[in-house]
Amino acid sequence: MKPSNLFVYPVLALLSMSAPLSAIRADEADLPPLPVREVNLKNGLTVLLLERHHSPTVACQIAFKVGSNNERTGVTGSAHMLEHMMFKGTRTIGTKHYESEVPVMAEIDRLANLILDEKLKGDEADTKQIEEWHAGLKAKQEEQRQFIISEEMANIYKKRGGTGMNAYTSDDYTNYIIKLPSNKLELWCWLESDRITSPVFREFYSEKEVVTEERRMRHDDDPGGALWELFMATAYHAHPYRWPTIGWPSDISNYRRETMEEFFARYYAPNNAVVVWVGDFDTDEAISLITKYFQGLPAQEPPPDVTTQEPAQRGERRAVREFDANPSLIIGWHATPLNHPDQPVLEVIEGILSSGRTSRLYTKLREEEQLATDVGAYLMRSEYPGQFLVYADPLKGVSLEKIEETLLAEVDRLREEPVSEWELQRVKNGLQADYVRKLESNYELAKELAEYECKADWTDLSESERRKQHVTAEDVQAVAKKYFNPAQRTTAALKPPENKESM
Amino acid sequence: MRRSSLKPIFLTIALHYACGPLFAQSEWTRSARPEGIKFPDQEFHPPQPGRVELGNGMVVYLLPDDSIPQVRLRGMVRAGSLHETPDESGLAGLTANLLRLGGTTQVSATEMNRKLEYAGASLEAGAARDSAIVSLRVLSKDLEMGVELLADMLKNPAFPEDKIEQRRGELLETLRRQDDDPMEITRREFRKLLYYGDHPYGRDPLGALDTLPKFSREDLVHWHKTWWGPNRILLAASGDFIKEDLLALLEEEFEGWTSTAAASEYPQVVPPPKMDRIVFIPKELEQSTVRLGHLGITRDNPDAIPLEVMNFILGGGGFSSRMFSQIRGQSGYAYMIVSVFDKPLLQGQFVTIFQTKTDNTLPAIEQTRGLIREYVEQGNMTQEELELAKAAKLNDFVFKFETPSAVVNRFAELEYYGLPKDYLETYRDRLSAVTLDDLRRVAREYLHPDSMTLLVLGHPDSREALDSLGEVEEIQLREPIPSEPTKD
Repeated sequence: MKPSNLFVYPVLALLSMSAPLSAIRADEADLPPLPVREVNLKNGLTVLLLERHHSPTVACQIAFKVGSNNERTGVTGSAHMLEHMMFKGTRTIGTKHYESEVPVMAEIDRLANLILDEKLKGDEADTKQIEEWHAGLKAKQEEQRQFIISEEMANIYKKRGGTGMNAYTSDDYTNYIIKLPSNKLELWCWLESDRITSPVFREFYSEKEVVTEERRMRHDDDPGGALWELFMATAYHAHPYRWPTIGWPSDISNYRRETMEEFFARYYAPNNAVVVWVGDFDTDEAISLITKYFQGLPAQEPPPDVTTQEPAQRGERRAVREFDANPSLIIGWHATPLNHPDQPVLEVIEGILSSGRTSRLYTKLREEEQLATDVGAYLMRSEYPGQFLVYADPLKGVSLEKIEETLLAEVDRLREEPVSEWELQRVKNGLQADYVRKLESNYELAKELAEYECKADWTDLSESERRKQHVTAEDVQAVAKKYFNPAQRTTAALKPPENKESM
Repeated sequence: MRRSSLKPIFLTIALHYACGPLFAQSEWTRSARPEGIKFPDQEFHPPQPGRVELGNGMVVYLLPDDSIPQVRLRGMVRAGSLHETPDESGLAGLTANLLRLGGTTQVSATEMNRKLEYAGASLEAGAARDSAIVSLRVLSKDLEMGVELLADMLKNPAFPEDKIEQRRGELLETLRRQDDDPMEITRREFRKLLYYGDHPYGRDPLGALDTLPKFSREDLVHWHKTWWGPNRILLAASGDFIKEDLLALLEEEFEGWTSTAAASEYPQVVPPPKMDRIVFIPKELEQSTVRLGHLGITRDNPDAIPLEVMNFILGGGGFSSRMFSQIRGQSGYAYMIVSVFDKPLLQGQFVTIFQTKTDNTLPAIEQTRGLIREYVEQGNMTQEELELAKAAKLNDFVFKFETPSAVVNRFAELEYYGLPKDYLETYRDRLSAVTLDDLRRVAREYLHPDSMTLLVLGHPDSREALDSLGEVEEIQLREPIPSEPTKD
């Protein structure tokens, strides 16, 4: 399996004006510098601009520092549901006549809330009454449909060459992404500033069904997703990382439109957002354009921080998910937040264990002992302390016990003996080549900037790259000793149910 | 510590801005609708890569670009699984993988891994249906080392037994694990249904549980000798190199590699005797995974462009398609729904794919079928839809050329698939010429709502609903292969 819902790529070093690349790689000054211009509008909106002209296109993103972290029990998955609703139009876009929709939507909400309240009574619920309300709701939804222009925002973008319009939500942040031909940047400013000014959450109740289908696909019917959900729910007892970004099924079915509106109002503030453009534009013109469209948005009360801290884990945790599927194993340890000084060392360890065919897990579990297909290590790049994990899918006939023993032996080796200079340098060279590869893509660069800025600070990118190049064998051993302790370990296994055991 | 709490927030000033006139300092006013924005012109001419034939017959496309200190080479090789007999299923892929995993007669696999990874380079080889692919990514300073290893691996593979065993075991496990993934299961089974008579397109390029265990080292050696040669490769090179230097290097490294005599005759696709079928695979899941469609077109079909536009409106245009807005947006039946005409070397498929909860299986199928039928029979596509689809395709044309490697690979693919050299140059004109009548014609010609194969993978409970649609054939997921000796 691969941890699927927190899919984050290896860190990429970017250069601010203050940290020229040559300072990082004095020995090889052949990497092109990446001057990012940071501008902060008066309303607190952060703007990051990286001008480059190799293709007449621009990757445009607007990210908000809100994710499933900011939720509470009962409404888990709100950040993600809200992300879906942000594609449903505004008072101007997606409607033939907004004013006519307002009373219809009010009636839809009233009926939907009555149904939800009644359903919460459980066995006592009046099913006949629910059906009646439901019929009324359907009729009202049909009535609203005559005013809706379906997917109008997407169509406006598409018609003008917008490509890859989408958004994603994680525990820590939410990012709205698209690529545009470089002459269409004003369109982005218009549509995105409009969307965060007056979004209208149309088709809310059918979208709940869509999100439920998404949950079934990603978690309930997918062994990898199911195991990941269990792993996180076991490794965290207090911190919101314990619930899945998409939310628990019963919470999704209980969403109300007004909850989403409150969530939007609190978190979608310019002072909680970052705009990132990477590509073919003139930086000064870009600043002027973005300022025109976005400076009128009022700053808001800064949203509250997540204050719950995960208490220290005192003792190993183990969990099993039964699934009629081939077995799989995750072992994880509590690790660091993105901007922690030990993070670069853990990233190097991740490389030693799992990047490429000279890595320790590949050579041991795939080449030498031939125990597994997919095997690897993964470090969460998260705003709050994340997990460092190793995982493997065993070949048929190999027990999970054997896999666990072999993975743990490799992790223990890091604590017991220093890594060789060759391995260390191999990983560092690989990280530098990754850096160069990422320069190919405006989208990947923009995503890294948005992600770092939301979780820490975008300038940490270059700092982290610099630190990785200075990691020593002693650092690796010390950090391995510090984090990879049995008492901080969580092991989650996916196995077929006993009666279906054929493995 | 969250950075937001450290940032100064200019609350008072911002409020002032929000209350007063927005932009008193300039003439600028926001247009009431986005249509009011005037966009600057954009002229775009795709870069033209060079094409050179080496002394040994190998064709190379080159596009030097020094913006990033890296070089990419990608070779398309006429050694795909399309050439396999039923008994050879998986041999093309296993052989391609072993070129890389097995090392060469000069350089052991371990040494090769160490050389490449110490330089942060990657070299990979694999096979799909239409072609095998080799790819090299290397920092420009290490180009010589990379090309040396690439040529060595293509010319002198070692095929050591232990690496063959390793890869064989991994592929078998991958095949076994396909049955854990509804999309993989239905992808595999739908192809089996469409490509009648054991056509290679109906088989999995990874191979089969009963063929993979049989291949010997000699089979790999023979496959490589038969299908891999300089006359069967189209190599695309992009990045930071000097054209003459790279060509000289390629001539030198690939010297002595001789052409193979194998002909490229492909087995004809024969339509199944009955396309109109309902097939059900029971598996205890919360969602049904549905595939609905029939055989489609080849890549060189003259109607390919109007057909692209026609399918964009139906289900290919993402958020902008009818399927998305009706099945997802209005009905909330599915998170993902899409229709595709793939365009391989031989006849491809038309397929609609979606996933929905067990209870919605029947209504979602009926609504989707109805949507396709209405589209074809009434020909009710609108001028507005046509214009949106055409504009989208015209305006996102630049994204086909975002990176030098995308450009050069595209040109190599045109030649590989036998498309005219001016395909890209004339693409926009031909797209602009598409009319509503064209859409109606290609919808009628290439969509057959009365003769579609319906495949449903889902909870046994969803079977009953399907019976109302007609005769249902049920197939079971394949049996697990016999247990191997336990390794601990």
